[in-house]
Amino acid sequence: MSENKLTIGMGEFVVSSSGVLEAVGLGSCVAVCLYDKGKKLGGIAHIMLGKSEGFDVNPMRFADKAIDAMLKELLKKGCKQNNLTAKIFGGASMFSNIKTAMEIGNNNVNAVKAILKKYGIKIIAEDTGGTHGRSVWFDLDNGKVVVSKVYGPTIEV
Amino acid sequence: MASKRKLTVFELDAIREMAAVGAGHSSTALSELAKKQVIVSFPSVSFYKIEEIPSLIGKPYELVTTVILRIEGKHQAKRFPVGEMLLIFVEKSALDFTNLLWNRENKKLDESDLDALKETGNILSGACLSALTEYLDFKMVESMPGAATDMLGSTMDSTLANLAVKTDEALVFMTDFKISGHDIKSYFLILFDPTVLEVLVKKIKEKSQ
Repeated sequence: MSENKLTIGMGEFVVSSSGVLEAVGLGSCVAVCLYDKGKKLGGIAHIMLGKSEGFDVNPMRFADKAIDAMLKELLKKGCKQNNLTAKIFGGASMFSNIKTAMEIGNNNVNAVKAILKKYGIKIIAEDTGGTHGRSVWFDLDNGKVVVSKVYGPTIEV
Repeated sequence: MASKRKLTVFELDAIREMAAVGAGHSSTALSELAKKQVIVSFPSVSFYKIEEIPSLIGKPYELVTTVILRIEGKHQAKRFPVGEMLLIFVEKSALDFTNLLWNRENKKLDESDLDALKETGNILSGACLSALTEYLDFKMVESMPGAATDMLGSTMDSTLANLAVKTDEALVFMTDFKISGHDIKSYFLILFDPTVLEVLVKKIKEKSQ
């Protein structure tokens, strides 16, 4: 894996053509990775919430606004929308007895799926839900994502 | 909009003073529970971007055990949000703490340990809130606690998301407790709901007159 790593925090997205993009310590948050294999261009959005409608705060916290902005950036850099594929990770319920915490993770995953569907972007890999945290490393050289957890094996998809 | 509310230096000082009394009560409760002396840091009270709050404790991948509670105010028949409470044990502190409570040497946390940590969260927040009630003249109730051992970021993000729809920055009250003679450290935080700041300031002003 490339040495050149960039960390994407909550409420941020980054688009790049080289190196590794990482999103660390995802609980209910979701990391959305978009990739154009032909162009070797991709991006990660680290979203905290689903739909932005009615909320006047950092729009990049929300799945709809962040994916929208990331897609625009990718298209501007020469990607074709129908060449893009998605991989999504996170959306866990870390506190299984707390209803609101459970709903946040589920809502995030559902919102991400709805938006990707709206843009016709296919999800080709997914590791979502459950009760544990995840960290992801997205390699822009080949579009592969390494997913690690405190509990369970590290996987590559 | 509530999230744009800034407090004056006087108001922040008054909240810090109130919080220091609350933290004092919590540390006393912790000391009684552990039957050890507890060293409590001077609490800080400041505004932080929601996204930056985990970095007050450490890196997002660091292993912690976090207890979360939601605090609501009660005035007559009305309930309103006050904030989110977090008790965060760093690294092995949660295990060392439960071993201390039960005078044993377990190698890992089990369900009953997590229950004990939730109860500890309850006791500490109860002690803190009873002190705050003196200042605020309204009752506060805590939700059922949740507890999880995982990465710092992943144990905090659902709590942060609750506030992230309402405000870009939250008022954060933070202190830490160390148990004397043991390598046990935990952070105690209250993230105030932006809608309660107005009430906090009003009540504090009434008291200081």
